[in-house]
Formats: sequence, C-alpha cells, structure tokens
Amino acid sequence: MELKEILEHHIIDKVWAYLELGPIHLPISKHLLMMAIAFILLVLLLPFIIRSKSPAIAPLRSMVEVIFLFIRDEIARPNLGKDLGDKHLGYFATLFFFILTLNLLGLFPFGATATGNLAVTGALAVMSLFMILYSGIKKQGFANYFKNLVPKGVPIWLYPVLFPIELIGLVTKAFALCVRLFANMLGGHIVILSFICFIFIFGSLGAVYGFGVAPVSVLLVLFMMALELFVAFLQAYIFVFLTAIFTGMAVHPH
Amino acid sequence: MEALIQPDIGLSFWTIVCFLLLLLILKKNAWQPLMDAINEREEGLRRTMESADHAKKEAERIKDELNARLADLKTEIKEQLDEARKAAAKEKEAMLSDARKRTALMMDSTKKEIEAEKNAAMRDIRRRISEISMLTAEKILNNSIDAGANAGIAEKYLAEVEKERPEISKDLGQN
Repeated sequence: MELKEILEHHIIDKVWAYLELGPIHLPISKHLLMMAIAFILLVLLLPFIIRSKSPAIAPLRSMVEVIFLFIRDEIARPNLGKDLGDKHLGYFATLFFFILTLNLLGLFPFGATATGNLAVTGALAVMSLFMILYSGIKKQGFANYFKNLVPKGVPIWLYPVLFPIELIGLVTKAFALCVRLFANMLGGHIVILSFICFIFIFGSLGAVYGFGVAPVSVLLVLFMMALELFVAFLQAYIFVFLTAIFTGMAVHPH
Repeated sequence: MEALIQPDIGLSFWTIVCFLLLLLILKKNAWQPLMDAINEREEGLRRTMESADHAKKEAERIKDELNARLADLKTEIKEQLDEARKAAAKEKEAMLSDARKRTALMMDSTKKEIEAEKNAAMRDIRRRISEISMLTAEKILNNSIDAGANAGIAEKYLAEVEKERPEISKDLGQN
C-alpha cells in the first residue's frame, strides 16, 4: 500500500451513497455522518448543559459560559458594537461550537475531520460571506455599501480600478477563511500519518529499524495530537474572529 | 489525491443545512437562555454594587450629619459653660461685696459699741475717781481739822492728781 493510498483513505471523504434529487446529487458520506454527530451532540448537550442546575454539570456550564462570554466580549462586541454584536452573537457562538466540535471529532478514533474538507469549509466561508454582505448592506444600504467598499480619499479615476479589486478582495477573504481552516485541519493529520508511516517505511528495511523508530514516532504523534487539540480550538476561534472582523469592517466602513 | 481539492457541492449543501438548523435550534434553546442568565447575573451584580454604593453614601451622609451635630453640641456646651462661668463670677462678686458690706457694717456697729462701752467705762471711772477724791478730800479735811499741818500734804496730792490726769482735775474743777 502506498503512502498516497493511506492518506487518501484517511483524509478524503468516503461517500457511501448518493441521494438523487433530479439533477442534484447529495452524498451520504462519512463527513456528513460526522456533521450529523456534531449536530446531535450540540443540539442535545448544549441546551442541557446550559439549563441544568445540577452542581455536577456546573463545571461544564462554566466552560460553555466562559467561551460564550469570550466570544461576546472579545469577538462580537469589539468588532460590531454592543447592539449588533449581541444580535449576531448566536451566529458566532454556533459557528465556533460547530467548527470546534467537528475539529475535535476528527481527533477521535474512527472519526473523520469534516473541517478538513473543502466542501465543508467552503460552505462555512460562503455563509460568512453572506453574513458580511447582509450586515453591511442592511446597515448602509445596497448602493452605499458597494460605494464604501472603496476606501475614502481615493481619487475618482481610481474607482474603476479599485472597485473590482475590492470586490475580489471580498471573495478572497471568504476564500482565505475556507482554505485556512481546511489546510490547518488537514496539515496536522497528514503530519501524523507521515510519522506513523515512518514506522512501516523503516520496518520495511528490517524489523529492528521499525521497532527502533516506533517509540520516536509515537512520541512525535503524541506531540502532534496535542498540537492538533490546540489547533482545533485556535482555528475555530480564528474563523469566528475573522468573520467578526470582516463583518465589523462591512458595518463600519471607516 | 485530486479529490482533496475538488469540493463536493452536495456536501456543501449538507453543511449549510446542518449549520442553519443548528443555528436556529441553538439560538432558541441554548444562546438565548444563556444570554438571559448572564444578563440576569450581570444585572444582579450591578444592582448589588449599586445598593452597596448607596449604603456607603448613606453611611457617609449619616456620619457627616452626626459630626455636624456633635460640633453643634460642642459649641452649645461651650456657650453654656461660658455663661455658667460668667454667672458664677458675678455671683461670687456679689457675694464678696455683700460680705464686705456686712463686715463693714459689723465693724461699724462694733466700733460704736466699743465707743459706747468705753464712754460708759470712762463715766464709771470718772464717777469712781470723784468718789475717791471726795473720800480723800474728806479724809484730808478731817486731818487738817485735826492737824492743820497736814494741809500741805493734801495740797501736794491734789497737785499730783492734777498733774497725772488733767481732765479729772478739770472735771473736779467743774464739780
């Protein structure tokens, strides 16, 4: 088995069947399963944790509350202001917990990282793009929003040049969001798989080499797993944070 | 590996459906209650702090009031003390002058009494002396009748008496 096959086996979505709705093919795949698990976990656990008055649940409640307050005080309010920030808080919090749960589910045995799929991160980025456009247009009006895309103080003859650039920039922001999350989640997995493959590559030279390399590889994998755990939180935070910044820029153009 | 960078639009659709449903459900069932709880707690905290602040201000106000009242009382006490002191001084002065007057009066009456007593004594003495003189004179006269030689002696006594007590001799002269 080649490394390429192993990587594909572990990283690429496994489609079990297609739901055919006329011209639309909807896949039933492992990543969809992971999303469903995340969905059920969040829908069942979060309201339970939040509403529970039991002291046994209190630590979990505090954890959720700390994250929620962090999103409110460090992400939503500074970028969007108090009123709009509180209004969109549900979106940011849901986005954060959804991405975080998908990231963490990818670290479980037999799990797959749905956020390591361009289709998933792309969809999230498109929703963020809609969020940015919707907030900006709602706040400033359609014409004003697009007029304000070009920074103030630019000579009028530059507008034809700058306007397309800013439009592209808008899409680029979303695209960057999409690729950043995708690449970060994928990268860690590929590194882990490579470390594990070292064992077998050296093992093919001789069993002694394989056993010699194994402890080193396992230690490195352990380190990478810890790093991935950190990255799972970090990338969820960054995705939400950047969405909030871009939305804030759309709402307050100057 | 090409599948890695060829997104399956179908999965994007699932993602969007999944996320929007999640957003809808969590917004109502998770974030709203959490937000309410946090707001309630923050409000409670704010109210507690406000009431503590209020109580502190109230305590300060009462303290100021008490201090002012204490100062008032102090000045009042001082005034009353001053007044009492003044009254006491006046009383003392009055009593002293009264005592002085009474003493003077007593001294006067005593002096008068002494004078009267003295005068009485003088009169008594004068009477006695005149009696004694009379007796003496009588004896001398008797002697001179008996023996005229003693007339010189009577003369001499009388001269001595006159010399010692001129006023008696004057009185005698009048008698």
